[in-house]
Amino acid sequence: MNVNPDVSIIVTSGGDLAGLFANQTLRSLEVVSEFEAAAGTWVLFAPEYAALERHIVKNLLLAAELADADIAVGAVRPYWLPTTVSVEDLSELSVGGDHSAEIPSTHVMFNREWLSAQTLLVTALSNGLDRIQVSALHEAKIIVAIAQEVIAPKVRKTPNPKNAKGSPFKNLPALAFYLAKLMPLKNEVLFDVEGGRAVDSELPILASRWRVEHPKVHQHWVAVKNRNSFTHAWHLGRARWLVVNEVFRNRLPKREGQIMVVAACSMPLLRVGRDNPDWVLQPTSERRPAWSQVGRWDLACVASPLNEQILRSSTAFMGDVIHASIFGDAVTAAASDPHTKAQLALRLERPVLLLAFFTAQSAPDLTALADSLHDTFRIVAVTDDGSRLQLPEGISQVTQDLAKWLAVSDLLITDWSVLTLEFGRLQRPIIALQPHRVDVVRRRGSYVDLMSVLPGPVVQSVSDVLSLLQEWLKDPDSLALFKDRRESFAALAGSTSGDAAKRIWSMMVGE
Amino acid sequence: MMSKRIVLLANNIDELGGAQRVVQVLAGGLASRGFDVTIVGVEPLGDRTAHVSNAYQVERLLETTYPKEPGTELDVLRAGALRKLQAILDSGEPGVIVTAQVWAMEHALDCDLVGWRTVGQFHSSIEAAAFGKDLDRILRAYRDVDQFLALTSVDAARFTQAGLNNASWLPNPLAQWPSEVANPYSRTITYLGRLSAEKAPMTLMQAWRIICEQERLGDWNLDIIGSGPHDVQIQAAMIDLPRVKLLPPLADPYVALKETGILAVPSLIEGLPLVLMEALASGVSAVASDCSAGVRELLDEGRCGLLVNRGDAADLARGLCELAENDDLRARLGRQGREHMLSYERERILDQWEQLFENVNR
Repeated sequence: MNVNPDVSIIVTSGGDLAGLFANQTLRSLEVVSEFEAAAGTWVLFAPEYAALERHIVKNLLLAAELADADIAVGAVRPYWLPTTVSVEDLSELSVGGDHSAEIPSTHVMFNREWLSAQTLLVTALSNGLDRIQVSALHEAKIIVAIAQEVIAPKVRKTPNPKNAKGSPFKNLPALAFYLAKLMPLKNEVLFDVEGGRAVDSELPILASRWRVEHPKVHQHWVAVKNRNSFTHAWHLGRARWLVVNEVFRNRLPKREGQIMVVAACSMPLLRVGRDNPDWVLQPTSERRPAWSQVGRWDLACVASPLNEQILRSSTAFMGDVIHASIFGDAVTAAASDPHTKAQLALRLERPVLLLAFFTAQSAPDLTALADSLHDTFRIVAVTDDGSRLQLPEGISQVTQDLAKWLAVSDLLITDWSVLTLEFGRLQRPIIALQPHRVDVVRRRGSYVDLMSVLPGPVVQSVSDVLSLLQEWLKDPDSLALFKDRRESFAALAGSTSGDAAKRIWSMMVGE
Repeated sequence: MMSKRIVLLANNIDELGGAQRVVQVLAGGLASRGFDVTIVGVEPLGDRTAHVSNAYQVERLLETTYPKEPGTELDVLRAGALRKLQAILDSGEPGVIVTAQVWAMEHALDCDLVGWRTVGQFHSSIEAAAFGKDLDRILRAYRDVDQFLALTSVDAARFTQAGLNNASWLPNPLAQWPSEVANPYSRTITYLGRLSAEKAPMTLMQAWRIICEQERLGDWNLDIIGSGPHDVQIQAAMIDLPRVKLLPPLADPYVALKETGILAVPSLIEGLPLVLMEALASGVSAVASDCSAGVRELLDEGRCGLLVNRGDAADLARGLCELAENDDLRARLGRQGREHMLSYERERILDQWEQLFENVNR
């Protein structure tokens, strides 16, 4: 027991006091059974079963001393982040999180001298009062509150054996990756890509040209059916260059000496950023995969200046960034060319509706749309990954001249295809239809509030789209509500020369 | 009566790097104030066991470095290291044990620390901790120590958010106050540090290339001082670049800073870079990447130097040109930087350490 302790913890419920609260960081404390026996400058009432967090008594003490307060209130937070508050404010702080005007007695430390004058309160606390009415504290000179409870997350004690080898695979693919790692790197480019027009439209052409010039450099494309297979893992372990575009869904390993190129990055997600104050609070299982994946990138192609800024400010990222989109200037040039419609064999007066989907699976049944509108609009559809859509009569899928089709379209309906940013630069209306990618952004968090920047409404079904379009046909100003956003959305998309594939390729192979 | 015994434990105590220098400065300073100081390095640095001092005791737990792979040899070495550390701790009355790195604390926690107060430091930013595996290790090893110390209040607040309720902060001290101000007419941009990925010297080379292509700063030179895994790349990049020199690392940075016009800090990851503090104390203004709360704090949000985008060579080139082409701005920032660094003087920081020891001994 300390002779002149800083704090007396008063345990009124009796029991064996020896050893209680011995785990506290503050050693200058005593545990006594009644207020009269307390010798500390500060007192705190606690039942014998109270589980006080290890640092709380010291944090309360230092906060009280720093503010020269009569009372310190708080759960767990360092002493140097306190606020001095009035009793009225304190009732709003809701230490217990229930917005009540009562505070658990274990969260309140009193200056003993001040408390001595509050005889009623002392009696109540001595009788085991476990919640204190805030109004009972009204005579205190200053109350210092450190009122935000921070619960330390559980920490894994042993490494996860599944990740011990750095491979996301199990069994045979894991063995393939392990064996491949034992061998030297091979002059091979592995295209591990899913959709993504920057890759799909031009990279294969450039790759095949390069193959002619450099016959000793092999190329391997991972087919969807081979994903996570033995072959996939084998090539991942051996190829010198890895070109990927699904950056978070597939967590890819990387060996020393490999160069990982990210060929599409259009979502301004919070998870790679350093300036999101909440990321440290996310569970390790959520945070680590994205973080470690970004750390593996050597070159990233991003579709907007915002993404470039995010990546550059991410401490995980140590590579180079290219800001380039797929079409960029080609779309704006085609839009200002009066002959573009003629080149696509379109009637000048007939408006064009462009439907762009992330993949064929994410497209809804478009029969109702085709039935109602194919006389009025020329309706064309496109998918990011080139997958074949099941389309009703009246809607055709296009795969060529996409820059021109974007340029002649009057309105885009999309589930946040990669073409959204390209079309956004034209400052024309966009309707987001059940945007599953918007859901992804909602779940993961984004640097921009996507719903408030999209230059058009977000709807849930084809019938919603139909009614919006019918209204638009009657009154072209019906989507004017979102007109103001078109300019800001175009700025968000930024302007690019639109040679993403070429630039990726030239940086990758150094040509 | 508070114990005056202090044990400073670090991964190694022989390197020239920031944390090791801080340990040595701290040990010297505390010894001069009457503390009984022992500094302990877990591993030697290769064959080098250069650091000796009369002011305090110097110990090393191991005579050889740990093997890279786990196994019996590592277990035996570790057991020996722990026995030696325990013997050092038991050789006098308990006091305060301060660990400079989390790995060192992981050793200390396996000893009997009854009666000892524990202080754990992390010499970088929380972003750096989260980048590797350090954050989880910090949360595990430092959660129950008497005090965890980050370098800045911003980092400490975010470590608290991550789960440390014992976080506080204390900046590193300047090793020594430079007696003379740097030559104000110097036309040299200096990079001082390890040539490794996180310090991004290649970004500086790219920035220099941009500057040369724009035919600007024709009367300025670039000195790259340091060594590391990127020195071959630096040498390759230097071949067609004018007015660049690659020089070996220096034991005394003030020798180079005396003839420096601008310090370039292009790092991707930093804590509270000592070299930036030393430059500012010498009246040298700096262009640094906006990579940590520590850098922002040292540059006083732009009052003592220019902040540029992290990893952005074009922005770094812009910053260097802006500062190099404006003598008045450079002089003003240099002056303000020197004033600002007064608060990082060794004696002031040592006062804060003494206050900290009083707090942890309560």
